[in-house]
Amino acid sequence: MTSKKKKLKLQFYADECFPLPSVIFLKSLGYSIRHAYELKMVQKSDKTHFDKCKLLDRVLLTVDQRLKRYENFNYENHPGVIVIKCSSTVPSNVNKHAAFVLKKITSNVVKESIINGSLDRITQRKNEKVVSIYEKAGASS
Amino acid sequence: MPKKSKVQYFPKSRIPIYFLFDYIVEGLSWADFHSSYPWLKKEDIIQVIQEQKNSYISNDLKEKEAQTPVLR
Repeated sequence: MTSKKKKLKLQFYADECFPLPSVIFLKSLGYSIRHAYELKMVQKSDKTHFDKCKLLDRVLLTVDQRLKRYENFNYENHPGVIVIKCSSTVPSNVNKHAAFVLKKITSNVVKESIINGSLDRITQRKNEKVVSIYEKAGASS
Repeated sequence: MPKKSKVQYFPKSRIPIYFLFDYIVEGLSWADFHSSYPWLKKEDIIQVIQEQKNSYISNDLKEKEAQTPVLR
């Protein structure tokens, strides 16, 4: 009998900053993703979104790269946060970045961590330590 | 160098105003922006644009006044 290890498929929760068309796009790629809007969770605090993800066991997805909204919370037993870092928050750009970053992330990597991901670089921040997960050739400064 | 200001948000939301300008820079419209964040009120989006316009006009006038030589 052959045993195949089943890869755990990540499930996501997009906070209200994540553009709605990008959620539809990621669903079309086969991702399980719920938007805060679908769950009547808009106009809520960052902590409320963070806690909701833990409750739903879904990874939090956001695009708000200029703010460090989710850095100061307790990540113990939290499925994790992925911040899509892109220069522009229009859906076509977010789609490109999110599809690229999500392909490279597994549940083990994101659990209890913040992932900052762009087309050039993906880093994992866990327990104050920052580890590089991916770096495009020639992207280091 | 311009002074760094605090991030401003649309009224009663967690959506930063600078998100709207990403759409304008990319050649999209405020209606496209609204379809990304449909719970925002159209009036609030238009009001933000109006305020930015007024702020620009006011700054522009101040600059012109500063450049105008004083007659003696």
